[in-house]
Amino acid sequence: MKTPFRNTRRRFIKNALVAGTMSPLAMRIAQPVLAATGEDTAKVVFMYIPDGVYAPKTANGSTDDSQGAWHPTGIGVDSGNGYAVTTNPTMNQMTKAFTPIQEHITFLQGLDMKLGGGSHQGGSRKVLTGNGGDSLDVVLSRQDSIGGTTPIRSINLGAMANFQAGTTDHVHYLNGQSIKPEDDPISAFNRAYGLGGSGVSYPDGFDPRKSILARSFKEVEALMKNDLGMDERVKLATHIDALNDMQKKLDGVAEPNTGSGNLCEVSTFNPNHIETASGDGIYPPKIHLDNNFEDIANLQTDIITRLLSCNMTRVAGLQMSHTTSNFRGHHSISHNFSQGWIDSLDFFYSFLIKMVNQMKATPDGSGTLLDNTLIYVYSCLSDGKLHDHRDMPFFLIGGHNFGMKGNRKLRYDLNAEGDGRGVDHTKLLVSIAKYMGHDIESFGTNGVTGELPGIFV
Amino acid sequence: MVKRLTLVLSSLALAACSGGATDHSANSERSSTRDISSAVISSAAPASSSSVTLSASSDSVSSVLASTSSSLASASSSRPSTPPSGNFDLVTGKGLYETHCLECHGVVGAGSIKVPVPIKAIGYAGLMARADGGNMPTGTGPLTGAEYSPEQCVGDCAHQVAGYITNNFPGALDTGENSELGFNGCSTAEGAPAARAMRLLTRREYENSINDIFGFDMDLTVSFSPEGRDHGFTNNADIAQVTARHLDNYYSAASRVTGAVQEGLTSGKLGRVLGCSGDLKCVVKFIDEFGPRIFRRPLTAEEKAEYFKFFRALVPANEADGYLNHSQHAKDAIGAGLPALLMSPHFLYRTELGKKEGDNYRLTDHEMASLISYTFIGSTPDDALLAAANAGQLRTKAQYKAHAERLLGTQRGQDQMAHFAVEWWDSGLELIGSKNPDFYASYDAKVIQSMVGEMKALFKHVTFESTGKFGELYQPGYAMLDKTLSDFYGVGSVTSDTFTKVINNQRGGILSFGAIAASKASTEESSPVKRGVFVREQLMCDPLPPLPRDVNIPNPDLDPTKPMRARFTEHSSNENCWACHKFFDDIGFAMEVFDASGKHRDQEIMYNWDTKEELNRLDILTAGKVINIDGDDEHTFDDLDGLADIMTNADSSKSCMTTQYYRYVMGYTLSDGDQCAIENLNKTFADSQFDIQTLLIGITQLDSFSLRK
Repeated sequence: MKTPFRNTRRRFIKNALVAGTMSPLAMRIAQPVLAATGEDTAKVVFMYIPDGVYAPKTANGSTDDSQGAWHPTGIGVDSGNGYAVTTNPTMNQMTKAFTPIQEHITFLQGLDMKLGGGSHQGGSRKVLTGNGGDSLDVVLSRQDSIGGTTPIRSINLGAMANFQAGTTDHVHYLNGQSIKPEDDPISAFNRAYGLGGSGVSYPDGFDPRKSILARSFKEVEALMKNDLGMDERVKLATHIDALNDMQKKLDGVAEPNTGSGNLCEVSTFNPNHIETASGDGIYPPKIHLDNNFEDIANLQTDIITRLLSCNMTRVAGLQMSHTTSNFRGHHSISHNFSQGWIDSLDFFYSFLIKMVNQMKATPDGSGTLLDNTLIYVYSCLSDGKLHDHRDMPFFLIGGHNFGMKGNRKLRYDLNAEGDGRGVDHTKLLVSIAKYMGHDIESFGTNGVTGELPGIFV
Repeated sequence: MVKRLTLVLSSLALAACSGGATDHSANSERSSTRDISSAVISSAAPASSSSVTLSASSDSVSSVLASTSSSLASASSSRPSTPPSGNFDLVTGKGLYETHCLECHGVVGAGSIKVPVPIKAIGYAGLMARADGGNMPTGTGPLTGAEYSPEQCVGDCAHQVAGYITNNFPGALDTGENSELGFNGCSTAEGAPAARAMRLLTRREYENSINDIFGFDMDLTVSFSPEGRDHGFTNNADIAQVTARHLDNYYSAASRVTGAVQEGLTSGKLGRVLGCSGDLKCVVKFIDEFGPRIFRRPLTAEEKAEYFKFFRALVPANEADGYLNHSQHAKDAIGAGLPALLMSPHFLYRTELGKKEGDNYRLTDHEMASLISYTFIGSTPDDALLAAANAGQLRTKAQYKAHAERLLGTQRGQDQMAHFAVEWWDSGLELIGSKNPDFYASYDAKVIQSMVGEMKALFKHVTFESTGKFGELYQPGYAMLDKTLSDFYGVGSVTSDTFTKVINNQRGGILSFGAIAASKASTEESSPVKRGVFVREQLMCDPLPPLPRDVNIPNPDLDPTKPMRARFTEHSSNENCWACHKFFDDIGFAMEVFDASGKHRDQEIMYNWDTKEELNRLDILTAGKVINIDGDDEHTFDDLDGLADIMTNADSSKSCMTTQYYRYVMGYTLSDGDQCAIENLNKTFADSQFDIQTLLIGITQLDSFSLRK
């Protein structure tokens, strides 16, 4: 892998006297453990689509399949374990776009998001957190065995996710606070590869960052000794985590890479030289112009494919716009069933489908990147008009090397948990965690334990 | 209105002795979900802060009574009140009070330790209504077990007691501004509600700081993560955290800044401050001059030595520091060292840690310089503030005030206050939505930017050029428009890009800002719910319960025969909906005179949004009522002007501005502990007849401004 930092260490150690201030015992530096060629490692992508689908409900709260336009249909075979399996389901009007890739998809029906707040913002708050303080992507990224094995723990991207967005319009959380997706792919890409500033030219190989990190660590640690309250200590501990992450990345990107060739060449990114930067006096910035959405979204899915393929990270998120999306009137459109709504969703789905195909074409481990990567596609609402959280339109793509079989629909029994509702969606989050090798029994604060049966074959 | 509020509250306060505090919880059930400013309003209910303080500081009733006796004289002498008509014998009144009232209400009417029932904001008439009217005294005495009943003190007894109370107890009168705002008698020594904290610079503060330190005008934060917002404010330090992304962004910016510094060493502010280039001495001077500007305080000797190591990092191992006596080497040294200073937590956070002083911590001179500076200009302290801090001249309220006034006298200070207003109004550039161009063709990015400009221009004009009074924010009788908005709104004929006063009868004032109308609307339709909730939460500081879960919240279908209001009848016919919607729907309907793009309209045009066909034009039904505006007051209005009039005069809207400003200045998530600080700031605001500049500067005069816990 070509990076500007190949010679960093040698030159750095020779010149930087401050290197002696490094405090390796206190700084938790996990060296990246890169996968050997041919080895399969599980990867995950969290993909957000805004504002629900058309899924009207019957009196008992389950989806009215005779009217709904989203959930695929077909005869289900009862598994005897609380769910029925439909093989080769027939795509519905709003899922028709997935027909070409349905062999890779497991659609889920009968999952409810329970407890927590309602409507758009309530759904966004809990969909990845289960009403806890950290979203699943963040939890996975903090695991030594997952995020700790790659130069960057996770990446959290958006396509116009921060444009005209309220402060509670996003889905990723750390310490109970919303983490904003990155809308600028160029900036995100440079960050991922540690391509820092462009303002100073240093002699070959010199990079002041490592010694800066050591100094910052010392200063933050000293501040923590100030007899501060718990909130402040958490804040500073998070800062130290960030210092460690930056350190880890600087170490990681200097390592030779085992990923699949061309994709890992930094220079091959953004072949069309799309520019995203605009001054902050410019409104809206380029990354938030409607007409640039396609370019931005394509670059973001490309970054995800590259970073996963090159073992730069194993955890990625992408938000298409945000809840109550202003993008081409999507939120307004999502209040009434129409062809316009189908078209608008298909537009968002097109980037997902393109990414799936790109992953399918990318060798990885013993098969393709799609075989190793589980893509969790989700929204903050079930029905866009009802603004409800019953029978959520969740589905999973890929992950075939780790037990995921496609071309199925699993329909979970209503009242399986005895509350007249569907199955708590945090069980799905537990299953995704297990997929990634994080063996937990419960996720979030809903008090529900166990994983979702039937997902892994 | 006010009288009704205060009477209700005081009737709570004067409820039966034996009732105690718990009896009142049902009456104030909504206030349990409110935030702090409404707590101020409703705080006349039982457990007043003074009684809480008393009970916390003493473990016996007698010592409470003894300690409060001494404060009686000072309370009565420092707060002369206007006695109601009639002849009183205060000695007689005092005796009668002690016989019939003291056991429950305490020596100064603040309540006793066992029965914290204060006498609040009731006035002579209210007292007579309670006592002579047959409600008081009543119940069983908590100390003696004596039985009290209303017939024990009627007629002249009631008259004398009422006279004694209104002449001696602060807060018992219903005639002044204080009682109108529901003050509960907080001491001016409100303590230190704010915890010691590290306040991460916002994007705006970061960029302003760098540009001020070096005399630059760089765009630095475009790709930085947006801040989370608390009630619209981006500077809440409780919710700001540094992630890996932040560090990358900081480094990227630091690198750009460093490059610019290297190029500009001999020009502009850099050149003036340094007056040198190209040798070791100059590198040392750079650290001496800019280190303290970056850290907003002098560097310690250890810091100087440590940071010097960064600057000489490129000196070859076999060379001494004299290597830097070469212009390129000196420039490289700054390139190697400056990013370290800019990545330090001492730059990225402004600390409010203070030095121990009694039970609290007092902010250091330099922390005060930063607090004042970021509050009033949103940037790093200027040379005058740093000099004052260095000289120990930032230790008195008068000194804080002088600097606050100095900064507010500058364009930057006034712009920063406009920035506060825009965040308070929660309708900044990042929040104003796009519109469907098929219906709102002339609405574009320029209009959005001008809408933000309109808010800033009005706030600055009212505060710094016109009356300076709160009421003018709601009812100015004019709008501040530039050419873009004048054309877009179709109001006036402004021909320049300068915001100009346009007298008209369609718009002007907070409730008619295009930015608010457009940001609280969808791409096609106005949103009476979003607008009403905005008024309730941001302008009245009355937070609403979260949206219910597990219920369907269907958006009403388009019906060309029904205006927006009629399509929302489910809200009022379904009691589950109405339980919340009654607080804001009518407010939102009054604002229906503005379409989704913020333009004024006389009629609602009904479109088929798919075919774009116009289906109908319907009158907008604006009349309605605001409930629970001050306590349980309610007011009806015919239209938006009527609503603006209500907001102009409501206690809750005034005290809400205080709360929002306090929130902005303090930068953390408020709690009940902030009640007295806000109340004292409310008093300052009220004493000035709601003069905005007095409020803005007045916060520096709070004890809590410089104290932390």
